[in-house]
Amino acid sequence: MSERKTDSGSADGSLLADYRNGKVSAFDIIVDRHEAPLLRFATSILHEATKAEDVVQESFLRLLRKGPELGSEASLGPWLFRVCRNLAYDMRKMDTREAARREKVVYQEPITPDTQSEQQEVLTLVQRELQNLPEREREAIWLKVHEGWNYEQIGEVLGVKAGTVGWIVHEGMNRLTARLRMAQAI
Amino acid sequence: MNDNWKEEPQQDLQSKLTLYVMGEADDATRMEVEAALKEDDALRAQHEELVRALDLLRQPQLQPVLGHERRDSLRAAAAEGSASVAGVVENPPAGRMFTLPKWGVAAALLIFGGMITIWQKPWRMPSPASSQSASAPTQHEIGYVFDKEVMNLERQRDDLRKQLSARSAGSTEKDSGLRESLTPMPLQELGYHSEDDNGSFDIGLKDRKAGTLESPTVGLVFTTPATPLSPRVPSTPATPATPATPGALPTTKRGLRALDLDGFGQGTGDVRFSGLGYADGGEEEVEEELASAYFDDFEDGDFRARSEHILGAYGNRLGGQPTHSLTDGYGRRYQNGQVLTYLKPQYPQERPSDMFFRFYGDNPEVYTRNEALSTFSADVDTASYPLTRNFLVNNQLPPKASIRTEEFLNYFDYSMEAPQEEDFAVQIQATQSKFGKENQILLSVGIKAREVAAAARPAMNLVFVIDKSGSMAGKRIQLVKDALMLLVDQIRDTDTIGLVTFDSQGHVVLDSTPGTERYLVREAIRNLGTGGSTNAGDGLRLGYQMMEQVYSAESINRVVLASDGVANTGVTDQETILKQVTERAEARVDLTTLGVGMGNHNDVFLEQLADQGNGSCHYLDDVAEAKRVLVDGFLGTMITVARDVKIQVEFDAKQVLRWRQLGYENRSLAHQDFRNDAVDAGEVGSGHEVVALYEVEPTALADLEAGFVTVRLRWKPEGSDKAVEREYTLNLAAGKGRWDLAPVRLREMAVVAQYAEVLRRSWHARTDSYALLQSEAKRLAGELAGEPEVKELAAMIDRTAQLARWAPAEDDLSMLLEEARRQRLLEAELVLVSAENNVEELLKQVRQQNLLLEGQLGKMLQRD
Repeated sequence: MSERKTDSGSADGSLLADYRNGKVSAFDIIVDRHEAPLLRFATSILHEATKAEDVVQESFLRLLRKGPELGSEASLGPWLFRVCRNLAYDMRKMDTREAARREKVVYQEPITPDTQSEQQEVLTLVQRELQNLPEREREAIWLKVHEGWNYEQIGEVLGVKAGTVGWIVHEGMNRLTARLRMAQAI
Repeated sequence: MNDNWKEEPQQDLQSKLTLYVMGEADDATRMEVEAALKEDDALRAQHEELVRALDLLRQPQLQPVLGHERRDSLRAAAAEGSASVAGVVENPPAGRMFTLPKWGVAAALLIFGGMITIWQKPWRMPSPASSQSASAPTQHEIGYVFDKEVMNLERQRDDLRKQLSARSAGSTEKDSGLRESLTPMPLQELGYHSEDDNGSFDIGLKDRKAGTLESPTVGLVFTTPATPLSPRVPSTPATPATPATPGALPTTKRGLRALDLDGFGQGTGDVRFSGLGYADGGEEEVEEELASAYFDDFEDGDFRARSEHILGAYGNRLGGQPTHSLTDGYGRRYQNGQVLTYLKPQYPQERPSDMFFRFYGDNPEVYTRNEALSTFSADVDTASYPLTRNFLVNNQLPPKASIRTEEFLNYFDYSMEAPQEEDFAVQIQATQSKFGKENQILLSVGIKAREVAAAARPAMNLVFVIDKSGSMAGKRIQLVKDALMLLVDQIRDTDTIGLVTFDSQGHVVLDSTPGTERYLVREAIRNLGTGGSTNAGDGLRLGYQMMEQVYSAESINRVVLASDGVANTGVTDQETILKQVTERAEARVDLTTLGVGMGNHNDVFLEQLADQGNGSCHYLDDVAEAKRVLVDGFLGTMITVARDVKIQVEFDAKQVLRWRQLGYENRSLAHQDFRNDAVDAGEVGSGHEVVALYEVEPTALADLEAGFVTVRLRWKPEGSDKAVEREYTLNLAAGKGRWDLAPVRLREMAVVAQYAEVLRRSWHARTDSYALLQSEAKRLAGELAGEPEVKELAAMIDRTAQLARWAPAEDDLSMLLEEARRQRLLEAELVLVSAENNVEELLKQVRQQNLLLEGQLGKMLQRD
């Protein structure tokens, strides 16, 4: 998980409660805690640092606005990711041609590493294949692998049931391993 | 919607394995998986793969942060309390981004459903609950569902491949041939085996007539019917094609009317698809909707070139009920999930088998009385051949779609004589054909451009635009650096070189530097690093800008783009870039593209860029190839001697019964565009050779002394806008020479082209064998002993033959799938014309055949 600067280790929910009680710095810790994962996630959708930052900042602002309505959730992660994801897709829609093109699944033929494959190439290849997955599969795998969430939580972000997440991850991993196998990377 | 994955026990275990690896399995599942892992080798292998894939995914992450300003702004907002916070991101307007009417969306789903039901279990539309939004599925979801079905199919295919290769692991090595159980080895017709051992499938074709070389369609169920499908159209002289005029149209029994002609065999000239009509008791309006970006990229085989991707609709009245049908860019028309029509005949009397092969990207055999002209643009790209080589070196067969026969042909140097005073020397040769049917003639049409002497060449302004994104790291950027260094070595003092790189943005690394200071250029090249994403648009923009500073009409002004593929970008707008490049080409700044590294050189875009940019596209698999293109071929690659080079070949209908062009599928031009100088064609560089091959079948009463083919060449010499045209003819007698006595260069062309045809699994090569190809190649290598490329060609053919033997399962299934699909198309087509014609018997046979095929497919796709 990401390193936090001044993390007291308290649950998000209690931090939020602290904030509501007037402790402004508690909100700072929430931002510290979630900014890197959210930025990575948003960047994986938008591919542009500036846009990603806009979206993440807006997500936090929405947290401020909606704060009073939220219960004391143990983790704000799923909620924040869900908001961030929706914002990111909305932003993509606004750039219509861009979005129309990216909606398609980009399939590449098997990528063969050069005769002596270097670790760097393989890693880049894996990232590229991850990007090439259909959106939901990429997101589900991303959230599982990078954020370590369970299928319930991922389901919250994607708006589907946990069982569906299982199926999505399964399909995505199948696809990924097939492509990596063809590229002789695994 | 997701329950079907639980229905099949085998699949269930796979999903449980994934759950297990992801740490989401409950106790019961965990125990089940662990028990299974102990027993099942295949499962263990899968487990390994998953674990390794996960390992690779878990790379150390970046730690991005919001900048100080943003954090301060958030802190301020937090301090103020949420009520007064103004949003950073505006709420977008509601509604979908893509305005396809609902029925169109539903129909689009049906299209894909229709195509998939051919070989899959019935495919269900996604239930509303499964989609993100409550409204009709978005384009995103359509793609997602279709994609899932394709994925299923691929997975089944992989499973099958594993099984079959496990089974054949014990078989002994035999001498080569595509199918191991027969010697000599004719390529079996599209995957049908006729032996009954080896666990290979037999679909009861043993009793049918074997296909013969003279009439290849005999033997398939669809034989040439005794009665023609439609009354023969009186032969018309070969005239340039004209689009069908609206109004004078047949009506089928069902009351369908169309602007374009329905049903094959009823053509009255060119039926190029130009729109759809709305028929409503006599009123007709044309409705055209341009295809969505989604359909643009739907590739099927190689057939992209002439399709106008029009997604349109027209309404019919059938007994007062309006119904809608949709068409896609291949001319396939659907209504309520049923196929109405498939391909339109491009030539009248075109047989369905011919149409299918056009559909799949192979040029058809054409009757001269229907079409005597072959018009195409010259092409000097060579990417396809080294790409194939790269695959073979890595023990893989290249994908069918990447093989372009003309690029194979033009890779080799045929030592043609250079012209003395003209821009081009033309060489037309013919011989009896060794590959293919008996009594066929192989015709080669070759042009050789004049050579610019190195000493006499004009000054050059070069700007390199180099991809330095993260994926270029390692071998790729090194190869580019080596290639550039080779170029710098060719530079004179009066030339200039500039260097632009791009990752997420473009960067000017070195302004145009005169050749006297080439050490600066070398230094800059040496220091290139990598990282970031791919923004080719920005790179090209800066490159062209830099060129503006040094542009000179007397010099050669060329941008050289090197990349490992630019399709995977965040910000690139491909069409904008293409437009930019086209404009620059018109202003006489040419573009050469160099592809590196990737196994699949994602070359479609790089090739298009080179096309629009009046340059050529090359793939560099190693330094030797870089040297070939940039040092040995320096003058050819860098200096254009002729622009918009067009070739037209005309056959004499009295002498030639049928003809077929090998390659140039993507380069064909409308006949009336041959003399239309506004139409762009290929550029040819100094000393380049361009070769096109034809298979020709003479008529029974052909006169040997008379000419049978006329070749016209039209081009704009460099520095002039005025086109020049020349004409040449050849007598038929030349075509009767024995193959063994044919000039070695002609035989070389034939072998190269045949190799490409075999690699593409072209219909026309289906009765040919690797054995013959290998022996001819070996003979060539002996006769041309001083040429390493020829030796390499023979080695590549040998390696291909070996690999093809090891990878039969996938080929079998793919080909069987394709054949099943073709037969289905055929059936649908026959149904359509059955109203007017007596095709009952034929239809019955086809349907029986399809049942058998599907039974076989079903068996193949079942797991044990």
